Amino acid sequence: MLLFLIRRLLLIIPVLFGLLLLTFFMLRLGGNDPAAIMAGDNATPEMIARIREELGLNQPLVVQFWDYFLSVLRGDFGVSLFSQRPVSEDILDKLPATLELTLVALVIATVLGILLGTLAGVWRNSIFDHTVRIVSVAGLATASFWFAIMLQLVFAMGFEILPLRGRLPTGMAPPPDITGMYIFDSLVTGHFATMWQAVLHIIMPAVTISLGGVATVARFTRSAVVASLQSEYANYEQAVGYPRRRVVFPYVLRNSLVTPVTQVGLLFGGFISNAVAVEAVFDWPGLGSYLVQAIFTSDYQVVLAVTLVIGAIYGVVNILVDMTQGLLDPRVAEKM
Amino acid sequence: MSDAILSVRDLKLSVKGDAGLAQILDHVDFSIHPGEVLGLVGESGCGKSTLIRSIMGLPPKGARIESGSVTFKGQSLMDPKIAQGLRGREIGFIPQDPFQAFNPVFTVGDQILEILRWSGLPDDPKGGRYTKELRAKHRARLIEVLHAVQIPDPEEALTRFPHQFSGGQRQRILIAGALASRPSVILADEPTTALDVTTQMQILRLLRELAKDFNVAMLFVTHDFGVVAQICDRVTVMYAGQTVETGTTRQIIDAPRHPYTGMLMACHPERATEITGIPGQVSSPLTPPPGCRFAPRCPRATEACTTARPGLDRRADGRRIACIHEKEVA
Repeated sequence: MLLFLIRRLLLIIPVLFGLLLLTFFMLRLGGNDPAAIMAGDNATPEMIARIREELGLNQPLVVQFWDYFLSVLRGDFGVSLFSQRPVSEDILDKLPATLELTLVALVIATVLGILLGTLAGVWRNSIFDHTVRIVSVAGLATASFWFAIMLQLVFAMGFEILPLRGRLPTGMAPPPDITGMYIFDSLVTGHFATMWQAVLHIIMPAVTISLGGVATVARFTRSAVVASLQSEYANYEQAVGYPRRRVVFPYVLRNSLVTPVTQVGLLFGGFISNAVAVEAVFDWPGLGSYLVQAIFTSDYQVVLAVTLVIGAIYGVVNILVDMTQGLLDPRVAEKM
Repeated sequence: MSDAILSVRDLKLSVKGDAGLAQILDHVDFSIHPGEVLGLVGESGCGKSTLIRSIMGLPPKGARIESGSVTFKGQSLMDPKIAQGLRGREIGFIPQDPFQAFNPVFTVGDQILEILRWSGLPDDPKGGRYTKELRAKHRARLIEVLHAVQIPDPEEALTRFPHQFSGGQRQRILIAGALASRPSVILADEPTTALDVTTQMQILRLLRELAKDFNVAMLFVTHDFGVVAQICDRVTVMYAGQTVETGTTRQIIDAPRHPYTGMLMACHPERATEITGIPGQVSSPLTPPPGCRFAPRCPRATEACTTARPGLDRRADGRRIACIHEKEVA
């Protein structure tokens, strides 16, 4: 298991290198001139040329990439053209908000998806099953920015039971900074009023992001449960007198979790890209809105760094997913 | 002979499916007495599996019992509550395929102990909670039975996963699972079919000894007369959902009386001088022929065979034969 972990962690490095390479050349060959953007609207060609010289932008692209790669290895992601702050500082500021949002969405998608999928599988072809199917198709087909606005209209403007935007009410101080994730930080430091507000604020954006995930997990869980209930071992378990509820839980369920858990790992990537739109609608100060802004301003250092960070998180999440599968299925664990 | 513990009386069962109403079982009739091993012989598709599942009170989806009864010591197994209470406790089960029967992600110990958890042992306190002490007691009993089925190091075996055992070992563990709760009867659904020949012989020998040692009756489903000769006291032969002949193993093997029994036995490669097979095909349960279902394939069939279903008549020597041509011979 430990060896597996080390091997998988090492494998992330070439993946990230490839990601960096691809993003770097796509950005730089896209026709944007960072020097011109930095120099501003009224810059003379001489000024632009000077900036280009200073930043080394007149070097061949391959050399620039190598220089950039070496600085990334030292942990230096450069300076944002827009905020004029080191990119790594900006990211450390914004990452926890996004991480908190996507993690909560992941929990919602997993718990709700598995619950709905299991019940739909056990009550196959019932009204409940059909309802879950229709709702999950709808969930997959719904555009998240539209759904986000609808939630705001109903729950924030209509019933006024959930806050419209942000992570905390205006004027409320964030909890002491441990991880930067407000719910966790306020819980461990005992700021329960803050925690309650943080939870209220995260509900709508997290639900929006998790929508497609709930649907995916529910559908995969359902089909796995149906297959598992028809398997020989489920037959055997009934034949030797296990009560039906025991056949379902834990015997069938644990077998049925392997596929949906794989999906959870893949979903995470979708969640992050969803976060871009959803953070904008809910004014959530995370990486998503930061990245959008960076793309609009051709802030290529930021785009590169954020892509790299998201890639790394994605890699780690998928290692965790693989390890979870090892916990669920001893045959998988043996191959680790 | 003492009273039957398990009897199937005139069971007629149909299953409603997409293609229509399939008459899977038609007047199946036999009984098992304490301590005896009854072979249930028939080709695949003759309704053996449906029969086994119906005996356990788990008939297939869409099944309807049109007439007849299945009783265990006088209690109806057609009542789901009664059947649930008897499964695993009084009626043990050995599945066909030890490779598929285990749940792959739980240890074999967890899975077999789960049987005992719900069946309990005859001397368990009644109605109590499932305590640690009770589990330990069940575990001790299971280890004892695992010794009996010759699993080396049972303590350790309980902590292992199914895929870490060979097919033969898995079948031994499943046999232990069927025996552990001290049932009076075990349903064995072709328990050696999925195993290779040498393992088959070991498992058969083991089953024969254990049936004696544990004084348990067994319904042994098979399509193989060679297996029947090895282990069964009596045999009942089924064709297309009908019981065609019942007798002691000696009687049937030495002198099969129903034409189908004789032809089925002749198909056994070790016994047949040449491989003949039975001409024709098993009739579809959707459109069963009237009268004797074997008539369309039977060399002795006459007009009378296709008009009325022959009764399963008892002969002076105790055998029962469902063939109108065998009436006069006895």
